[in-house]
Amino acid sequence: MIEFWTLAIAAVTALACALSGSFLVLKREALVSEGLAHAVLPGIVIAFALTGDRTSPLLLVGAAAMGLVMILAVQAIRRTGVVDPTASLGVVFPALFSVGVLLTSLELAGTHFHADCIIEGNLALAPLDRLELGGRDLGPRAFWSVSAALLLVGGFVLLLFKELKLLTFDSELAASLGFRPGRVHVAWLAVVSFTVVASFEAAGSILVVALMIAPAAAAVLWVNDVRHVLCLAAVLALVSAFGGHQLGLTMDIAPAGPMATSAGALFLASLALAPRGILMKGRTRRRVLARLEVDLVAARLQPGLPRDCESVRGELGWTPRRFEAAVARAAQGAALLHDAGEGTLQLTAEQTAG
Amino acid sequence: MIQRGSLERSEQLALDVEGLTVTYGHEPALWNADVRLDRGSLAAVVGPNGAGKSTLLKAALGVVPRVSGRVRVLGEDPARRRRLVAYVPQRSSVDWDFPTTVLDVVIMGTYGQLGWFRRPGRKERALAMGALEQMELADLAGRQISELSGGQQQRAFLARALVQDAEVYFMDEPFAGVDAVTEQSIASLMGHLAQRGKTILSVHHDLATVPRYFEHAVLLNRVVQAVGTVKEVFHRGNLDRLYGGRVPADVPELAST
Amino acid sequence: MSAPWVDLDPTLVVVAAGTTAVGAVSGALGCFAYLRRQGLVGDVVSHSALLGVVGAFVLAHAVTGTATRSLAVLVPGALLAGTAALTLARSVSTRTRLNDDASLGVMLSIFFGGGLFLLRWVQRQSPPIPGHTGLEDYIFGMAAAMTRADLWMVFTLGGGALLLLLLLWKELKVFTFDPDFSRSLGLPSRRLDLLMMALLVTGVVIGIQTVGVILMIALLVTPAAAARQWTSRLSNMVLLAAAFGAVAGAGGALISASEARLPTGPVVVLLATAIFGLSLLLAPRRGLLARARARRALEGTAPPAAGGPA
Repeated sequence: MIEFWTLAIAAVTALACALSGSFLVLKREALVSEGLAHAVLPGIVIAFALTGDRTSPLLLVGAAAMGLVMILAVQAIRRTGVVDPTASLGVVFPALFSVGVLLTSLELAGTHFHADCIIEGNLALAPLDRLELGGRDLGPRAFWSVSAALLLVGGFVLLLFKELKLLTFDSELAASLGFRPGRVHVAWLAVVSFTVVASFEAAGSILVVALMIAPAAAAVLWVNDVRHVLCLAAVLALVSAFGGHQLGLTMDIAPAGPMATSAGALFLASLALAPRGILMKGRTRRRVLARLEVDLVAARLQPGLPRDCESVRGELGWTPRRFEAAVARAAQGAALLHDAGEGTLQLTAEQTAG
Repeated sequence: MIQRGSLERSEQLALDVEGLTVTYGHEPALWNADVRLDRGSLAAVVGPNGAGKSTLLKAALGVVPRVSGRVRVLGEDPARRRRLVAYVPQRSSVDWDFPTTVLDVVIMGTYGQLGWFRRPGRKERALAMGALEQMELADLAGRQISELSGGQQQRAFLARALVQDAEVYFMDEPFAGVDAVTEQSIASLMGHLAQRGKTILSVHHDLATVPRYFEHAVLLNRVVQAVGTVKEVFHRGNLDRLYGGRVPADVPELAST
Repeated sequence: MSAPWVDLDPTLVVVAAGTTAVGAVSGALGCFAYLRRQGLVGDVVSHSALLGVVGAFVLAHAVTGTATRSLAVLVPGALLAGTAALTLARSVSTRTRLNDDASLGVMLSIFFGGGLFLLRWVQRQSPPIPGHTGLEDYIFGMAAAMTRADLWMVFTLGGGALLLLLLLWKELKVFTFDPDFSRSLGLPSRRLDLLMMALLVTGVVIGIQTVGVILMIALLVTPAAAARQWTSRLSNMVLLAAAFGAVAGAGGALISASEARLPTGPVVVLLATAIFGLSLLLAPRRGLLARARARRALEGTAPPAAGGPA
């Protein structure tokens, strides 16, 4: 039964992270997730110190509030105009994280708050922590919080899809159309912040960042349409979660590291195999160049007039090997005639320059 | 019909581009370009957006890879002519909030002459101040560059080029977004340099002023449509072809083809 | 009366010297990443160092049979991993449609996740590999455990990096400010880029023992951001950033020494952030107070006569 709940929590977390992460990646602010994952710590610790209860929902609230604080602080710093925007994130989240670490070291409320959980969460034990309402056991608390996050994210995406799209790709247009991109943006970041926080329990900061960024980044290498990106990112995130979980079980290690590594592995695979990944793009580029080279050779010739190979090659400025390869290609396509004996090239009658 | 202007062939051309093709991705930015400029030319490169004008400059500097063709500056490969060539990039390519002063920017122009490890000294400072005086910026020498107006920034860039004491100057849109006074001073600087036998190739966006400031023109839209004196090539017919029929307004009427 | 420093605990001296040096070096080196608008690159480098450190440990153990956390083993591992992560991230952002942000984030996840994975695997080994417990310290930093050997490493690597910076100062300056122009001068942009990467990675590696991989980014970015507010010359900015970093480092060591429960890393970071906050507020010209004053002065007077700067 625990197994089932562990997987369920992992799956819902993966979905919520993938969906929210997709828009972060598309809007080119992927590292906000990294910032949020660290900045929420003091919120958790303060809430814990106030309630003395690790399972209190106040922890979620405190953490989410801290996330919002981070977002607003970064925006405020950016608005001064005297600090590099990228750097503003790097100034704020370590400071907040430091506050959190210091607070934990003071061991408030008398109990020890383990730093490890912050990084990797505690997926293995999460199912044991139940939510009880009116005396009835409703399942693990973590499941409910990540489900709430998923509902929030899903709802936002469904209801405000147009606005999110516009915000992501053309915020100036959005402003000119009359609706407030700034407000939507902050609201969206608040939702992301909540997702980070809800996932924290189970996943920890490293996994949250990995699940938000890697599946979406991989998806972008395969498909073009935003909706497809969302779907593919969700699938990849689920695969990472399940695969990583299995790996963790087999090796008897906390699942966060293996899950993050799986997400990373899927990304690397996409880099290699996807049509917009590095390898494929390299191949396309070589093909385009090859075609270009054929056209360039042809451009040096007039129909019906044979020209000396060497002089053509000289004009092009190519090495003999490159030239021969291009000529061979062109001759294959019957674009020109290569008389190796005479060392001449000639455009065939069907081809006209230009 | 493609018209090639006829420039006098002198023994050593300032710029000799032949069959140049450059591509960044799927489409070639420059295709089979031929450009020949004599020393002392005062030439503008014009064409629509994305026509490869900046690419032409960068190829002439030897900083972009070529797919085909060759480039010679003063008879040699661009890499070997660095001391004799000065580059004025687009103003927008730089973050003007960088912590440095106007004088400092101009002194950067001396780095090529200094070589590795050596520090700029009094001689370089003097050269830089001289160039600043020429561009009427001397009183702003100690100013933070973020406090400059567009025209002042452009003049700082030109002073930096002057310090290099080059033979050939490649400029990318030096007149963009500057006030009238700066425009005048840039134009007179160019005229000055050309008179002393220097060569200038400048990407220019304002068609209306081409005949006023330049003697030669390169009409470029991925392919070189025409190269020659302004009188020969800079007219309605060619411009129509260059811009695909949509020539930007207020181009002075010149003799048609 | 004897000199005050005679009574100081020698460990404290080592730790304080170490954190001060780390603060100074990373403050200086971080300026360039800051000015190139690549402020968060240091975060990726530091996180990936975990994989490097643990990986080097595992490799050394597999090859030699002995477990060592010697710096001679771990530091090259960290350097290698940091460089690999950066190079891969750069390659992804230039060759695919993904931009810097996303590629950095992915590499961070891969390398840190992988590092964590490996770390937990090492800790699971039975019979246990001796000495592995110290590896986890790299995550949050363990300045208090700094030894003379560690200090040596900081001084030599850090000193070497600063020396390179000094020697190639003008080249790095023009390359950072105007890469197109620097290329036209004949400066080899790829090699300079690699050099900057090497300097950054070095700066990170010497610092991760002190503040840990997670907080390292602050030491690179915050002093630079603070210093930028006070000066309009690059040389002064770098010197000032080094000074700010040094003060934060020294202060952090001293404060956490007096309060036994406080870990050094977070204190250093908070000091640096406080300096940043004060700079944002108080700096002449760029500071918030100064600008508010200037605005009020402008509103109070008549508009200036025609003929401002051309």
